[in-house]
Amino acid sequence: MASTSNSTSSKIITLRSSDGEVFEVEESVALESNLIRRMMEDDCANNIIPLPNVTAPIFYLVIEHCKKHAEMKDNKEKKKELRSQGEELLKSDPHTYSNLMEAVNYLDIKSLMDLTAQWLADFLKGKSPRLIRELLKIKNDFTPEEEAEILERNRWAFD
Amino acid sequence: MRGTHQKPKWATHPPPPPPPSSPSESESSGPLMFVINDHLDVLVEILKRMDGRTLARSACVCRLWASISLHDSLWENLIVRHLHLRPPSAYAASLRPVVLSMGGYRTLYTACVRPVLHRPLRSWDEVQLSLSLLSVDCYERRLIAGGGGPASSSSSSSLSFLCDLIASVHGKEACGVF
Repeated sequence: MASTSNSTSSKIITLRSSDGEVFEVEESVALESNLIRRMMEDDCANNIIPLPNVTAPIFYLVIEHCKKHAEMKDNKEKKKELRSQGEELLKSDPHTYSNLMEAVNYLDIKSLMDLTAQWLADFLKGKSPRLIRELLKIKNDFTPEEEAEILERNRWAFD
Repeated sequence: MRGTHQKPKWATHPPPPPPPSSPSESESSGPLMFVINDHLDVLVEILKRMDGRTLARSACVCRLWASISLHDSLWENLIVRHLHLRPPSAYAASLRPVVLSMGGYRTLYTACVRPVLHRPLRSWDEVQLSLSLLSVDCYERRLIAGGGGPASSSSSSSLSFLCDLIASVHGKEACGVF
């Protein structure tokens, strides 16, 4: 059982990942997730809250980044550091990045969506449409005429 | 989000049929497992955080990205991000219909903001200057398109002085939108 709480005063929420691991998380951290907030408001979270779409390793990552994000408030250096970590993750372990992004989207955590979306936006900077398609496995569905037209319209971005 | 005045012809096409799903392909080791085009809200969050050049390149990725990148709110967001001073929100909101009537924030960005982006916009006054330039540009475009008026005889916009100015600063042709 993993505990993320240092304080005894705040309420503890119990969550269970898809692979059955149980997490005890401070309420203030758990409420960063709008999904968990809605579940608690709807009063369907009396006992253990199941998270069928998130595995334990990814949930650890989510909690870790929630904490980092809370620490970096008003700290420009830390903010920069956290933003720069994305490129490394996307290069070395895109699989984990995908899982993290998926979990953040599912749990609906705004602060982490800001961060993970910024990571990908930074990662795509300066890349060609062809490379972006390859990296994100997107099919080019333009007709040759359409592609020529849109390339011409955005020619300035390739100079 | 709002639409724009320049709707490309593929925006009216029905969405392309989904590619045939093949399990072996979806499980192949690719750079990203997350199928970004299935998550429109996430895709918008990513495009919202791009710089202008990357956003324009992203428009060339596929039809879906092209149609999202035309949304003016992305370009409005981009312009506001370049400001050091945040405009009062009521003021920014009152400007919106003016910018939209003159071709939108994407046009404002490509025609008047991008050419001066070698330095950040320091004040809201500079945005107003950009807006004034956009209105000149818009007025001339309409005259030329309408085929009437004295400006129709001139082939280049009076805003081309910006190009000359920037070309002399950078020593190269810096913009080709006019």
